[in-house]
Amino acid sequence: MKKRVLSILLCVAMTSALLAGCGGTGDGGREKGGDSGKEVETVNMTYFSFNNFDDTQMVEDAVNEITEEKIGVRVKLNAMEGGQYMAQQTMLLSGSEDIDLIVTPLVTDAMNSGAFADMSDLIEEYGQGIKEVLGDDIEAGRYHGCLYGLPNMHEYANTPMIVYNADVAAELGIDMSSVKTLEDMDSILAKVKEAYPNMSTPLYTSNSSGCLSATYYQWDTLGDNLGVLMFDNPDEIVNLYETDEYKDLVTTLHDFSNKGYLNVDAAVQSDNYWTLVEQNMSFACLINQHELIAQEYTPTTGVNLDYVPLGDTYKTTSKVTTFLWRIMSTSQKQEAAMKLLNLLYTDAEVEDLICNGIKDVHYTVGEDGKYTLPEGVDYANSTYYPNIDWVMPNGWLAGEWEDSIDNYGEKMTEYNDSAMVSPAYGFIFDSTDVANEVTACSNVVQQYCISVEENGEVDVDTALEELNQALKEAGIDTIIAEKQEQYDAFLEGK
Amino acid sequence: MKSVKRKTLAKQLKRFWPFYLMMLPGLVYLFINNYIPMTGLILAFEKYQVADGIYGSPKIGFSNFQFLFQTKDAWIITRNTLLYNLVFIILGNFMAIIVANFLNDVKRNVTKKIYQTIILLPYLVSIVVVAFLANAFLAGDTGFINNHILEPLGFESIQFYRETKYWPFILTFVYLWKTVGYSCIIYLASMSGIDPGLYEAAALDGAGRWQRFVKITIPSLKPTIITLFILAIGKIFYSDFGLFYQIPMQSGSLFPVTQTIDTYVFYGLTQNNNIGMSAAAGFYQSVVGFVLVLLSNIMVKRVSEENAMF
Repeated sequence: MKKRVLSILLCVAMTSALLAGCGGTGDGGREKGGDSGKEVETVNMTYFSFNNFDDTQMVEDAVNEITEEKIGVRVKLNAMEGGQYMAQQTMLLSGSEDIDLIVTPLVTDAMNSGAFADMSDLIEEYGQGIKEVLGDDIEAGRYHGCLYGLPNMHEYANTPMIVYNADVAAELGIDMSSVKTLEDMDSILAKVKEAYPNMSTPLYTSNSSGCLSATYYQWDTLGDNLGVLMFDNPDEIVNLYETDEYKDLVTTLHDFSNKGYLNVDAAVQSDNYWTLVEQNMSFACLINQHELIAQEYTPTTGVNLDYVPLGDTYKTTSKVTTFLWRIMSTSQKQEAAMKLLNLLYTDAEVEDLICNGIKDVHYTVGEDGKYTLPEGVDYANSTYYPNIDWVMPNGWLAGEWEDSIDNYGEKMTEYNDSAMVSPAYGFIFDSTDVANEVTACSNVVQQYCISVEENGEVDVDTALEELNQALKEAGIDTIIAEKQEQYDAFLEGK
Repeated sequence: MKSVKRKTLAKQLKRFWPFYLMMLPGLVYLFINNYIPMTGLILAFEKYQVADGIYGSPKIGFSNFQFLFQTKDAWIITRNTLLYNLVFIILGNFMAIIVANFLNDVKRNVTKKIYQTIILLPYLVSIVVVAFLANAFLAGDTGFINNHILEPLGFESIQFYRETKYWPFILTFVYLWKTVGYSCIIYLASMSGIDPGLYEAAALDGAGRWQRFVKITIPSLKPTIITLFILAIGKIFYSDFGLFYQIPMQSGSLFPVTQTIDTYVFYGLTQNNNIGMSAAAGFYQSVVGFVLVLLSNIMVKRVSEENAMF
């Protein structure tokens, strides 16, 4: 009996040790293959894919042939399953893994803990190609004066817009070009609701993973919406939840909710708009996206999609830094990593190999130069269809698939260049001193936002008051004051 | 459960040395796997820096713990964690004993096994699947309860995922449905160890089913009940994360009744990946759990000494 008890106590203690995050039994350092001699260094490059990447080893061998010849560096492609990557991210960045190159979101906390190497000097020496490709946007990942990451090539701006099913609009004789504001949708949604009474979500707003105000906004969210920048008031950080803009948005949405345009179960809705519109369960979606999104999703959903903008296109820090390529500070091969990164930003052959695999094995090229899957292979059973051109440093260099948009990279560059630049572009908030308040406030927002934003049964004023009261108690004013101080310093240094 | 007579360690070693030898690999494993990592708890008092590592990072005292106690949420999450667990311990054990008793009374072996398997089945279903099963019942527009029960009867439909008042019952129900099958196995095993002669004698003396249950089964199960109770108390500060995170489908409006320490920490820290703060939360939970184990053991000792664990 006694021993049993002891072992039980030990179990309790062990659980606490596990929670303390020092398990360190990840699969890092598992593979060290390919070290052929001292002079050729092997860079561990860690990234993620939500699709199939079984043949990564085969691709890696092909990539190594090129990289070894061009820059004298070998690469270990460490592709992780997307969900696993997200779950282990903190561990990957704690410095205990044998990683040289990694792609991550902004993760300010990891930057604060010194997880990443400063690339300022390395880029001067080995990154001329990157400088040409990225131009001024190279600075987006600069934090406390250090260059901790490089944005990959993707859309750097977004537009508040309504994406809608153009087939349904045509069928009902709806002229969407007349829509300039959210309120204009009222009569249109009424029409749709009448024609399709069984449509659960005529206007898609958000799902359980977040609030609408995190995906649809006409301001600079500064990353987390806790203290935002209104574009017409470029010097002052304001509390979003007390602004008239927010109140107007919420009021309109409450009206829509009462008229049955929104999903009653938004809080637990796990499907996204693309799934719903495919099944004709939704007509339109309120979202901040780039202008090609409707076109991009038309083949996947099989529905003819289109969009109308509801506001101006802005380039913001959070958009540009969606994914940053980093060199780990613990890496012993930082120079090799930088050389490889430079190649990935500039070399179409390497980029194409990693994104699409090997020609005639993983894809075939049609007469028009576009890629298709080989006969008898589909997206589900392909052994290499990682779909990672949006994660890789410069996926625009890779070959285009038959159902993708022509000259995507060029069009996107044009879009990026046409965007207005947020006054806070380049500003990254350091939340170290207000970490407790940020944690508390995020919990408050998570708790209240869906009922405040989309539950018509609740009175707008009461709901907002309740939310703001809770935020005040959680310390939002402290966060905003801190943000303002850092922002002032940022403006001064600009 | 007879208590072994105490002997000195040296005598025991001499007599049972082969057994101790066999235990050695396990002990070494335990030390490496369970004790050495505990030094990592120091992270809870540090501002983690990659360059300085786990032991060299700057010490910042208790400020990592602050977020757990700073807001009024602290009270709510502590209350939820404790009360739910208390209800789960009491109702869970109660139901498990009842079910085990019924199963024990089933005479045909095949029937017994079939029942047992059916009751155990929910325990083997992934909590994510259970969440969607629950959703199929509770959903506002398409849910079974709203569409096929309330509507035909002429009642107003209920938006379960917005109304807090139903959730203490829903969560308790789901918990019991899921775990009773598993915990009753332990009781069933103990029951099969009870001497059938006792029941026969009692029956001859005219004791009914109820009396036999109260006078024979329960007292025989006492050590098992106490062991499980103390075990559960040690974990009273940990909530079943899957249950509280998945079943309410992360609906924010339900937080006042579904948010526990684990989910609060999860929501809060997925925002900023702070290693120190996660370590602090784990540290706090395990320390309180440890203290509670000791306290409940003292309590048990007071009531019946021979059943205390140490």
